[in-house]
Amino acid sequence: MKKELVISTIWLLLALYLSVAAYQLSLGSFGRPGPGFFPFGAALAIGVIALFRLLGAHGKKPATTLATSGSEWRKIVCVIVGMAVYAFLLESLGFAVCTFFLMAFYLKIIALQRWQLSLGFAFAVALLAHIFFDRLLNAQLPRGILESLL
Amino acid sequence: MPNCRAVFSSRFCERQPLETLNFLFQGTLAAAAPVNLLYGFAGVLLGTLVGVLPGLGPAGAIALLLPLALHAPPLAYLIMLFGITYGAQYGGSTTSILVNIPGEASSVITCLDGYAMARQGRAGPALGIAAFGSFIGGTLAIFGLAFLAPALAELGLHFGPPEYAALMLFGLTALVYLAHGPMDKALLMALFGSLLASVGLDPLTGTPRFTFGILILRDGVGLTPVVIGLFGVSEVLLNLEAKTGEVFQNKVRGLLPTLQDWKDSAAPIARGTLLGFFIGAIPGLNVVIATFASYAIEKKISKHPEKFGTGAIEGVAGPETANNAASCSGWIPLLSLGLPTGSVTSLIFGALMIHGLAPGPLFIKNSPEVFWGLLGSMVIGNAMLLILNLPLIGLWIRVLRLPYFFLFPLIILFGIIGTYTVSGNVGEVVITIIFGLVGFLMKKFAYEPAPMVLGLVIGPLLETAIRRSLIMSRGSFAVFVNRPIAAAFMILALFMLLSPLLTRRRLGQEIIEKLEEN
Repeated sequence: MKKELVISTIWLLLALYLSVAAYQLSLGSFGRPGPGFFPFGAALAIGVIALFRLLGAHGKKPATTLATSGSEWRKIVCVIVGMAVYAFLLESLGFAVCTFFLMAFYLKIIALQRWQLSLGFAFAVALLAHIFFDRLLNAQLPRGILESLL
Repeated sequence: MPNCRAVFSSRFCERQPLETLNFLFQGTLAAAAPVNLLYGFAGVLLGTLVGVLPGLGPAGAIALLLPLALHAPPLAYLIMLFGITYGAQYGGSTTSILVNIPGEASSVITCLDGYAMARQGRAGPALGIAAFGSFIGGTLAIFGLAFLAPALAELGLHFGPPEYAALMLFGLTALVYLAHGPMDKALLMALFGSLLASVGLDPLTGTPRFTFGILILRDGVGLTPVVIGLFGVSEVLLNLEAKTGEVFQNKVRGLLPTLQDWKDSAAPIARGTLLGFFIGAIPGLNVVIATFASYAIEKKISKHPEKFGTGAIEGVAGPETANNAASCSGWIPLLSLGLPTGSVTSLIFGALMIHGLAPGPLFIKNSPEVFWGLLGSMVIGNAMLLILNLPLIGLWIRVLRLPYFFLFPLIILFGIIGTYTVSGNVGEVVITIIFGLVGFLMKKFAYEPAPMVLGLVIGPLLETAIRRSLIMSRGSFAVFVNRPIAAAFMILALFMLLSPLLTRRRLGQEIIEKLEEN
C-alpha cells in the first residue's frame, strides 16, 4: 500500500477519534459553546482534509522514503533511548551524573569514539554544565546522589 | 481625541513632539548614570544569556531577581528587569540559526531560513542581520512608544473577543505563505497544532480535555518542549541518519552581512519594525504572532518566494526585527493601562508595585522620571546589545566548526535542560522526545513543523476569542463582520487567502508540484 494512503488513513482515524472525544466533552450550543466545541471543529476539519488527501492519493507515486539502513536506525534509536533513560533517571541520579553517562554513551556508542575521549568529554561537559546551570544560573536541576557533595 | 483626554491628563495628550523628544533625552541622561548603566548592562547580558539558552526564559530570570527589589535603587532595578526582557529577544535567534533550536518561542520562525543559511556557511550574515534588525526594530519602537503609547493604548481598548478572533483568523492566513509544500498539508499541521493547544484545562469552564488522567497534561502541552522536539531533536536525528557526515559547510562565507544582504534586508527590517510595533501594542497578543506575520508578509511580497525556507536573509531580517519591536511596544498595555498581559509583564507589574509605582493611565504623569528613564535605558540597552552581540558572532561560528559528533550530544543536552527547567518536571522531557520523533517523521513525509507551531500559539487565543464572541452575540456569527475592526481583519484574511489565486503565483507553483509528484 502506498505511504500516502497509509498516512491519510492515520489522519482520518485520528480525526475520527478526536471528534468523538471532543463530542463527549460537550459541544454546547452556538450561544454557549462547550469545552468540546473548538476541538470538534478542528478535528472535523482534519477529517475532511484527510479524506480529500485519501481520495487524491490513488495513482500517486510515493514521494518520500524512510531510512532503511540498519546502522542509521541504530543511531536514531540510541539517541531516543539515551534521552528516555536520562529523563527516567534524572531525578534519582541527578543532573551531573546523568549528563556524564549520556555524553559518554553518545560519544562511544553513536559516534564510535575512543573510550578516553568519550569519558573525558563526558566529564568535562558534566562538570561545566553543573557549574554553569546549577551554580551560576541557579537553574533548579536535581543533584541526586551527589547532593551532599555538590 | 476626546476619550484620550478623559483618560490622560490634558498636558500629556497635548504634548508637542519636541517636548516628547526632550523627555526622552532627559530619560536617556538619567539612564546613563553609572549605577543605571551597570544594572542595565547586567540586565541585557543576563537577557542575552537566557535568550540563547532554550527553555530558560526572561520570566524565570526576573523571578529569580525579584528579591533584589528591596535592596537595589528602584530605577536601576527596573532598568535591569527591562534589559532582561529585550535582551532575551536578541539572544533567542542565536541557537535558532546555529543549531535549529529556538532560544525563545519568538525565534521559531528564524529557524526556517536562519538555520538554512548556517548550513550554507552563512551563519555570520544571519546572526549579523538578526542583531542589526533587532537593534533597529527595538530602537525605533522606543520612539514609537514615546510618541504613540497613549493613542495605541486607546486603540487596544477597542479590541474585544470578535476583533481578537478576526485577527487570529487573519494570522492563520499566514499559513498560505509559511508552507513550502501543498497547502492542505500545512493546514493539517496547523489544525493539529490548535488541537494540541486544547489539551489541558478548558480556559472557560476548567473541564480537563484530552489529559488521559496524566497530571502533567492538565497544564497543557507546552510550547517549549514541542518546539525543541520538533526543530532541535528531529534535526539531530535527520543529521545522524544522513550518510554525508557534513552538516555545516566548512567554508564560512563572511562574518557580517554583505552590501547585497543589506539591500535585501532593508525593507523587511522597516516592515518588521512597523508590524512588530503595532502587533506588540495590542494587549494579549504574543510576540510570536508578530514574527509569523512578518515572515508571511515578506514571503508574500517577495519576488522570489520560492527561496524562503532555503536560506533567504529576508526571512531572518523581518521576523527578528518584528520580535524586538513587539517586545518594546508590548509595554504599552502595562505602562499605559496597567494591564499585565503575560508572565513577564505580571512580574514587572509586581516589581513596580514593590517600589510603590502603580502602572496605569496616570503612570506617565505621576512617575515621569521612571517612565522616561526606562525608555532612555532601552535606547542605551539596545546599543549595548548590538556591541555585545556583534563580537560574539565569530565565537558562535567557531561552534559550528566543532565536529558533529561533539555538537549533537550538546544540542540534545541543551534541549533537555531547556525543557526540564520550564517546570522542573521530567514529563516535559518526555514530551520533547515524543515531538522529536514526530518531527523526524514529519520531515520524512514532507510535513512542515512551522504551521503546527503557529496552530499551537494561535489555538488557545482563537478558541477563547471565538467562544466569547459567540456568547456575547448569543450565537450569531454576524458579530465577526458587523464590528468595523473585526470586519477589516476578516476582509484582510480573505484577501490574503485569495490573493495567491489572483496573482496565480502560488497556484502555478502548486500545479508544477503536482505535475512533478505525478
